[in-house]
Amino acid sequence: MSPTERCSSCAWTLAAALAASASLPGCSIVDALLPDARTPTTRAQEVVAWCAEFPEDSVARRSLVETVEPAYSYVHAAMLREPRLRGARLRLRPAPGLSREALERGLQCHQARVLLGMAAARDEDPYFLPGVWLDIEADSEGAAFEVAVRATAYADAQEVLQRARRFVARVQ
Amino acid sequence: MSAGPTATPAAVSAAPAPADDLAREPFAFGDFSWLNGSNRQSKALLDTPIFTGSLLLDVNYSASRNMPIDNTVVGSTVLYRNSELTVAFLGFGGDLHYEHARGRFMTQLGVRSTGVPRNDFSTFHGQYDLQTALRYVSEANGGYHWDLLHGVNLDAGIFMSYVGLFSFANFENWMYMPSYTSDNTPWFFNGVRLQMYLTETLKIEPWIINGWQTYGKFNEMPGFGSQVLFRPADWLSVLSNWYVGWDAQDQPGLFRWHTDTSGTVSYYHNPKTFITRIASSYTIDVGGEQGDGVAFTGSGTEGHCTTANPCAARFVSGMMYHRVWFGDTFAVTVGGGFMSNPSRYLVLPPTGNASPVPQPLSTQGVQYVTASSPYDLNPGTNFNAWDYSFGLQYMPVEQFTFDLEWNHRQADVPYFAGHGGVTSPDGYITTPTPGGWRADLVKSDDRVVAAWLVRF
Repeated sequence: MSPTERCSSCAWTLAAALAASASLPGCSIVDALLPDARTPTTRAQEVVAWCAEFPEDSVARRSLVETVEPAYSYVHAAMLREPRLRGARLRLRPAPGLSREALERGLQCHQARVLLGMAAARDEDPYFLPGVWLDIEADSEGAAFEVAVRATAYADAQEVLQRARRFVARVQ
Repeated sequence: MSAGPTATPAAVSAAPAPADDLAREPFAFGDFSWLNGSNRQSKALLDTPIFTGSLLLDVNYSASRNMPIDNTVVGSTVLYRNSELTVAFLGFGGDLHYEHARGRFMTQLGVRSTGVPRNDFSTFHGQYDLQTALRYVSEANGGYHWDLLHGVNLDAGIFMSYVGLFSFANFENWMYMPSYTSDNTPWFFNGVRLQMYLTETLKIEPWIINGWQTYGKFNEMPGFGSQVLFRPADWLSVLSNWYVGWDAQDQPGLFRWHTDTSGTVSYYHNPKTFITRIASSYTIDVGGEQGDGVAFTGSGTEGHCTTANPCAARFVSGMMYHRVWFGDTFAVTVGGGFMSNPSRYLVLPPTGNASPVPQPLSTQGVQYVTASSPYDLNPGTNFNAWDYSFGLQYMPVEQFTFDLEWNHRQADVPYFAGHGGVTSPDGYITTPTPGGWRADLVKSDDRVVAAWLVRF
């Protein structure tokens, strides 16, 4: 076998070994290759530890919500700047003394408590989906707050938006 | 947003929305992140109200069984160097969007800046060295958005073509090295495009462009084409392109036409099972050249192509890929395709001493010499080829993909780089090629490809 052939064989053997090791199900190396393995429950437990000063039901009330619209992210895909549905944007009326930070933390605490069974979810609660951890961000928008509730999976984003729309519809 | 920067989603206040009124922007009604040639990311990290930044890094390593001594790959627009870690593409830039104005620019650094422009012979038409002027730009276009229909955009500049389904951004593709249908069709267009979103599911996009992957124009007439993109459901996407142009030197009567149609189907999707999705893509291209001694069908032979007895000049190709996802993190793909291109007008010209086109670049002052055995791209020649490949993609986060694949290519004429390479007896461009030395072209190529793909 010539040096060139040996070198070629080495490269092919290495590639085959890499492919085989990466594709073995149940192997510990595969576990290490997986991304953030925290479950929604684990994340809720992390968050709820910060929630002592945020009583349940303070900010997740229906009466605070004024409007709902879809929350999109825009990504460049092929030759298009494509919208990706991520969830819902809720416009909340301000309450005296309520800061953006307190609103965001309060809603995150609400989500964590409901996920852990420490509080009951409201009907069509847009700040909670069973078995899913949602990104909740609050921002100031003029004389109101804007809360974005986002999921990564499209089906979850769709569910958040539907829930938010039904949630605000029940205000009236 | 494809519809434009100012499209406004419907807000609701105290009224239940119809079940299907989830999102009114084009193609936002479903999850299309699984498509071949599209972006799987759910969000842009570098997003601001007026600028969405983007960075693409594409690094590959490939090893051919032929082990060419000059480390050069022949016949691809995604692979250029063999047995070397190669920065194939570094692109940075992004989208500007303010009210109704829009713009996009992306750089083109890495080997692609020499590998893609070299296929454009129009740059030898006239002066000012368009290859040098534009090689570091992959996209540079801008224009205006109207809130008509579901959005209308008019852009001018350089934009990507998407003839052949696969994306120029390998991050978006199911495989790193596509079949000929994608590898041999244009990557970019230079011209004007009108994107019209007629409904939430349908886009029609006519173009007026300089030519088929050309910076300049060969003759007096520009090229014309259009794309139709139809996504009636979130499990189906149909993409169709056509093009007509006059893209041959000194042959203003030679007319090229091309059609490209792809269907991508997701026929299984269950996020809760071990296999989370199965999908496949199918592409068929048919085209030809007509006039000045060539025709779609013809019986002429090389050197004897006449208007009365034209030589065959056509492009017929197809490819299909099947992909299985295991969660969001792993996916495997298997596929392949074929092409038949008598008169070789879409065959990617080999490089080095087999190059049939001028090589104006030099390396540290060493000028390329005239090719000693230029590849024959004359009318009347034949070229038939096929390929298959399979690969694994590891996608631990939305911003990174590791790709490992195996690819076999085969042609009925010598075409791929053999062990002797295409450069010189020792593989260096500084070594003179003795009389009679010929580039080593062979009929098949087997290779392993590994790629690191990063996108922000």
